[in-house]
Amino acid sequence: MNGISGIGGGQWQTPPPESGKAGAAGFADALAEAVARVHHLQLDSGNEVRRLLAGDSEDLHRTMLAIQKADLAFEMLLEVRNKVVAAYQEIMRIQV
Amino acid sequence: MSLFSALRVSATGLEAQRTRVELLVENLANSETTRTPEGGPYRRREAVFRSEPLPAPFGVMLAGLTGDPPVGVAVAEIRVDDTPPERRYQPGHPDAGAEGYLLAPPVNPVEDMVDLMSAVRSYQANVAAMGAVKEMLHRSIDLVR
Amino acid sequence: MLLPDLMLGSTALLLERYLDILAARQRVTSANVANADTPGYRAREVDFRSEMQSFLNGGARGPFPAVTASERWGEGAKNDGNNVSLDREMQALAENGMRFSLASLLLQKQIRGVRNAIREGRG
Repeated sequence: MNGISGIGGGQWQTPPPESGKAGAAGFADALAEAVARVHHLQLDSGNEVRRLLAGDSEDLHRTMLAIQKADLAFEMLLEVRNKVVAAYQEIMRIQV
Repeated sequence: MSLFSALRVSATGLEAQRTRVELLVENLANSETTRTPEGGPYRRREAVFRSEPLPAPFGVMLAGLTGDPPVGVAVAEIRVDDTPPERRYQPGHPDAGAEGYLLAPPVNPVEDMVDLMSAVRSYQANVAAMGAVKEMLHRSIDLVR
Repeated sequence: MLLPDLMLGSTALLLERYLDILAARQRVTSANVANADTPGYRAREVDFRSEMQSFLNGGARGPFPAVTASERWGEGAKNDGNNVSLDREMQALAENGMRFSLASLLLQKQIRGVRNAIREGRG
């Protein structure tokens, strides 16, 4: 499975596949970290929207951008998950 | 929200200029009024503008990106022009005094006309500013399309 | 409060700051126009280039600092001390608008680009 990297950064690249448990743990960690980041962005986005509604926020464009960033990060995560699931299913299909 | 507060600032500009226009129109309409209900010839009135930071909630927490509260305008007072009236010798006039002198408003219509044009221009400038801000807000919204 | 950009990269960050400065500039323009006839009012302005410069010099990675506005100097003042020039403000208005449009469109494109890249990964 190839890593998907965002424009301007390589934060999303999964670590090179390692054999055995160590590899699995490495991947799990990376995924956990990604989930945490997405969650953070979602919280951030939610906050920005709340502040906008309360009349408290900075500019509208910042709120909009926060929303987009959270959206994009979430979509990215979704795709990663889909790929992982697809890969898993592929592996399960291999007849031993 | 600093863009939203800019709308409010422009609104204060519109209000102030409108008052100014109304007073100028009144001055011009009464440039020859020699008798008023209060007695005596018409006295010019003019609006005195003053900067006013927007009141909360617009201003206070929205010091926003320039770090200080947005500044609008308000009509601080409507001043009555105390220039002494013009004395004209017009014995036939119904409002002329015993010696035939008439007190007329010391209005120079040309001055007030020029002022009126300036006020209208300022009003339109505020409208333009509001339009520009609205446009920017629309563009911001487009970011999530 | 802004997290460092994960998805959109440094250009987007720059564009976002650009929009910040433009918005601040617009606010100042609106205030100047509203006070075009206020006795003694000094026109204010945002020094675009120095704001952009200080950002580029790494001045802003975390929460964006406020954009500073200062009084305009050396302009012809009327008798009452007011130095607002409507012509100049109208010009600023047009400029701000164009730049804001441009920057927000560029950001839109970036966002779409990233979104496409994500979706390209499918199947």
